[in-house]
Amino acid sequence: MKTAIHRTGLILAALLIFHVCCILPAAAAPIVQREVAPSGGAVTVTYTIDAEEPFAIGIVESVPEGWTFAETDNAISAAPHFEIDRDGRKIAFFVCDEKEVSYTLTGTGDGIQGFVTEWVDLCELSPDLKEGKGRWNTLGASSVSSVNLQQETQAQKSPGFGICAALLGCALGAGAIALRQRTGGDEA
Amino acid sequence: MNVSRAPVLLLVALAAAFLISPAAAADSLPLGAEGRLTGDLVATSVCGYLLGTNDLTLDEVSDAAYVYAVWGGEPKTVTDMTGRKMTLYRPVERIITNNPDNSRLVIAYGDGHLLVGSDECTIDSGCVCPMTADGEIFCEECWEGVTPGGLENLALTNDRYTPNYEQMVSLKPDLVFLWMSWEDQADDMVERVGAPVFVAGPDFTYESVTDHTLAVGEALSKEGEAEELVAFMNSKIRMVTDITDAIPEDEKVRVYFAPRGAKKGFYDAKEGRDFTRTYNTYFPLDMAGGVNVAEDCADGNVNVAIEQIIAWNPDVILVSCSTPDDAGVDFILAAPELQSIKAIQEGRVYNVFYPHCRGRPQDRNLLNVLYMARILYPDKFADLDMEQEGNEIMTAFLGVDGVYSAYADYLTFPRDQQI
Repeated sequence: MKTAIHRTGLILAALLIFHVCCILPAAAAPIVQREVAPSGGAVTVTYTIDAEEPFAIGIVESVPEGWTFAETDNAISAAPHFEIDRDGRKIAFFVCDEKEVSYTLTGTGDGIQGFVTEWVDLCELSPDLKEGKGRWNTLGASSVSSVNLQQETQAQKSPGFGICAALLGCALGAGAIALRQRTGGDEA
Repeated sequence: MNVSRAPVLLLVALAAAFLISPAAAADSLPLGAEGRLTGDLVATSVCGYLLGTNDLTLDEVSDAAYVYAVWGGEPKTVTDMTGRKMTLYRPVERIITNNPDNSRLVIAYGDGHLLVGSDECTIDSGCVCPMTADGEIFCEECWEGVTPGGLENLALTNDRYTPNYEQMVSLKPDLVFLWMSWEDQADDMVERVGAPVFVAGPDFTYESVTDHTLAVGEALSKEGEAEELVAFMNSKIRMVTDITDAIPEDEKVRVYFAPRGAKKGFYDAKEGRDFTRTYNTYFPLDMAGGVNVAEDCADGNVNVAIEQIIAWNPDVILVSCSTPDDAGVDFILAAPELQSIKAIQEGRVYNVFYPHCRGRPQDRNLLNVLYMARILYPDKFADLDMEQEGNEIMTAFLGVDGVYSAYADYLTFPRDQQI
């Protein structure tokens, strides 16, 4: 009975470590997430930025065929800084210390398929004298489904360390359980 | 013959002049803005860059966005620790340091990746990360972790005494951190390198340590990180002073501190110092509850006579140590001249962390606050875990865990010394 309680405790501890490590960011780098809210023949795309102020982010989104921007900027977005390239089917935002920006466009579909979103942390410092697009981040591509897009976005929230630490936590927990089973636990 | 050589020589001279001429320092805001960058200008430029409708580069729009977001769109004027003012028009992305104390702070603020050049004591000795006296890297995680590509692979921009201006110019720094001992070279360096030169460094007062921490933080626009580091240092110091401040003055231990060690005996004529060199002010000793027997010396950094040390008759002698083969403590304990001293008679002569390393290493001097307290008042600090505290301190500066453990393994006295 005591062993079972201890085993449950170890499992809970491992899960707790996993949970904490999953939400632990690798660094204070900004995180951009994209959410879509369909409404009739339109969708509202919202970017949420998780970053410490001050920050400045550039976001550019390519819109697939079948979607249309409204004729006036006011009808597209209330964001303070954005620009549209109607011929190129792109919209770009400069986001400075705003946690959220959104825009609306009309068309058919889920607002995910065919959209490509790229963003760049404009306050990231780099000693490179001639930077290319290496610093750009891509949120999603046309082939991903809504679920996959969310997974990809989520993956960008905690690159590297968080996942590794979570796996390490699980491995330690599993190892401890296995060891206790082999040795018979406290009673051995 | 001479006539035909002239153009060639002229070309060579021009090429050489071009190569060693100062890099053009940024003396204007990005995007050609005058006075202040507006949100509309930055936004238009950024959006145009993202859409591919202008010819701006990521460097240019990033600089503009940084100046707008971090500095409010205006150039940033900073003042170094000698009172020299300088104006930054673009973010500091390429840094040269000329001593380990400034390198350590750059790393502490998460800007190690911006170091493009440094001095031989940062990159080629154990002043930042542990290294043996023979030049063998001792804590690889530290050397590899503090800068991308390894600290030892940074460009060497000065040895102990001379800057390599040609190298510095070629690295196109945005800012050079110069330690206080080279203060008189600062203005000349600005002219020759073509970049602002920020003079900064601590002495052995704690106020200067916090001033240095905050000054470098401001220069790098890392004010928040600097405040956090000062708060961290304060928290470690309070662990000691909360106890030592309560000790009545007449019950405090009287200490002779030999900051230059005793590796070469009482006095080394070549260096002009050794055991008989002491300081009248050393904040770790004061905070650890020691009464510095040299506190009334008029000169802060002074060689004293052996007779004076005997006359002071300290309860404890602390000898700085930087290498595992240092037999300074044994030499002092056995010195016939010192046998009348209470500390010798009671065997209370100890190694402590060396407080110099081409500067005043903030992390190691913070270690000494705790370590000296353990030595001076072993009963009051019996529960102090040097391993844990030491690693926390080194991690706060270098961002790498286990550096203290590696350093203690190398020195051996933190492990072996009986307190």
